[in-house]
Amino acid sequence: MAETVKEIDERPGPLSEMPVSNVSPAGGASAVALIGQYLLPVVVIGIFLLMWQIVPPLVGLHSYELPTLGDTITGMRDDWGDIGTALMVTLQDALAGFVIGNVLAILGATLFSYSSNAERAFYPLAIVVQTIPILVYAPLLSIIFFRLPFFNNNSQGAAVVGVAVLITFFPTLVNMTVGFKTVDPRVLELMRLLNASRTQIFLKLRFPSALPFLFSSLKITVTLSFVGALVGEYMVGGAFNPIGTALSDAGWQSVLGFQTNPFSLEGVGGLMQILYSRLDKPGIFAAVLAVSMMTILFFGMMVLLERLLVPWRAQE
Amino acid sequence: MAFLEVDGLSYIFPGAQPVEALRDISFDAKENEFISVIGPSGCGKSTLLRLISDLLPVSTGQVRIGGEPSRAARRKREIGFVFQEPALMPWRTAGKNVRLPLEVLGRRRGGTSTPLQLLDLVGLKDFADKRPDQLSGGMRQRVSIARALTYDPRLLLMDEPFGALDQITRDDMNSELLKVWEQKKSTVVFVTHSISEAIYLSDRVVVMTPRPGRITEIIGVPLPRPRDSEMKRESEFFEIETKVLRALDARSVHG
Repeated sequence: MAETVKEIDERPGPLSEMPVSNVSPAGGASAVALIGQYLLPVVVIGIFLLMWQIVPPLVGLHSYELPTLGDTITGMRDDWGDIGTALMVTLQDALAGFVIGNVLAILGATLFSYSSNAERAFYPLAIVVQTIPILVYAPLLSIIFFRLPFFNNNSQGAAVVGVAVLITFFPTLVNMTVGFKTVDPRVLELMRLLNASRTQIFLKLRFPSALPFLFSSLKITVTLSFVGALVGEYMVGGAFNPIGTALSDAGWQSVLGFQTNPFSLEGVGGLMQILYSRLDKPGIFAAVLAVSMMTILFFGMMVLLERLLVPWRAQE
Repeated sequence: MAFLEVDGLSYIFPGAQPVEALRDISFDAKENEFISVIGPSGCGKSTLLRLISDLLPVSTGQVRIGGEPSRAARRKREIGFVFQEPALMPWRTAGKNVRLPLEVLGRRRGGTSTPLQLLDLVGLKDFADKRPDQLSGGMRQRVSIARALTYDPRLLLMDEPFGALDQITRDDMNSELLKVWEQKKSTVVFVTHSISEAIYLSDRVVVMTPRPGRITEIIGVPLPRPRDSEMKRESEFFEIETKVLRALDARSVHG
């Protein structure tokens, strides 16, 4: 990794008077940099939205053929009851998959870090499983889960979460396996010199070294988990909704106006099938837009979390 | 009696084409003596330090530190190591980097000095809460020196610690290192390829030649202590420098 550290004056003397390099790399040209960084993408997105609003009617497309931004917003308002509740289920499906997938992946990579035999044994299998197309996961998993008593009568819902788990698992497994190995060899020698135990080396060196890798993976997998949940819901039309189950069991029938009952809803993926059969195109666009916004929100949260937890690497 | 004894040390890097890195290295160092090892790149200086510190296993010859084999000395935390790169943990502040050895050793307190006192000693008292990416190269190397001193090692091994710094910074760091060493005495083996650095710092200079790494000469430095940089401009200094240069040139005579 290239170090972009600003060198500062080295001469001895009152060190406290030396400036510490918190200066932005751009220095004086920061106004131009800010425009490039924030204004340009906003302008591009603005132009895109404007075209979306203007072009379809100009070329004679009606809202039932290609809804404009305005039609989509209207659709969002009309169908908000359905979209909002479905969104909460998709959110729960995606986050359950995201958390379970990442925790399993970190544990797997930890095992690999402790035992190169385990890595040799399981890594090829992990790659083989990853080559299975995501569309096949959902029906495959619901068939497998159907036989497992643990999931009772909700094997389809479990399959949805399973898709999100599988889709998040591999990027993090690969990233963390590399991350645990990407340590400063000198610091590793220092730890050996100090007779550090394997666990000390793991906790004090390998794990923190892998954090930047973890966050690149979290940013990818938080997006993928929504894709996995949507595809899963679309394919099997069920919802596991573990958070909803817990909430409704605890007596919370609704939160912020959204129902928490896990069996009455099918998530945005399922809703899209219903909207499709109704030929409610503004509704479909609205559902897609809602999931996009939710995904962007969580991506942003990962970026923020990275800045907070990996400040030494998150400057770029 | 010598504190550090290196006797008949040879090392061959194993592999498909084994490389003879060191051949029959013998020298010793008294308690609190400052020894420099100088020679061109590839003469096995770093390998020598790794053998002394038990980072590489000794196969031929022997190393004794305080009368014990290097492994026992390492386990008793008698060896400190400063690398050419500062080798700091970027997620830790300077203060926490200095404290790392104590955490690993499971000690609440350091040796004779606390991590903060050591940072003060290397002139970074006000930088304890800064991360390495907020420090300059020279400052980072000072942190790394403070870190090596936390557990009061009796033997300090330094592998071209100032090699990556510019000449001006390097001269300052040399003076600072001597100040630190006057306060926290230990036996030092300092690897460098700067002749003036080696002479300025050391009591004796071990001159090595490459392929395989051998010692050609061990040259005493009878300059008084404490040293100051004015000494570099005195004729005595030049005489020693000439001796070292001749010793380095000896390799061309031997082929």
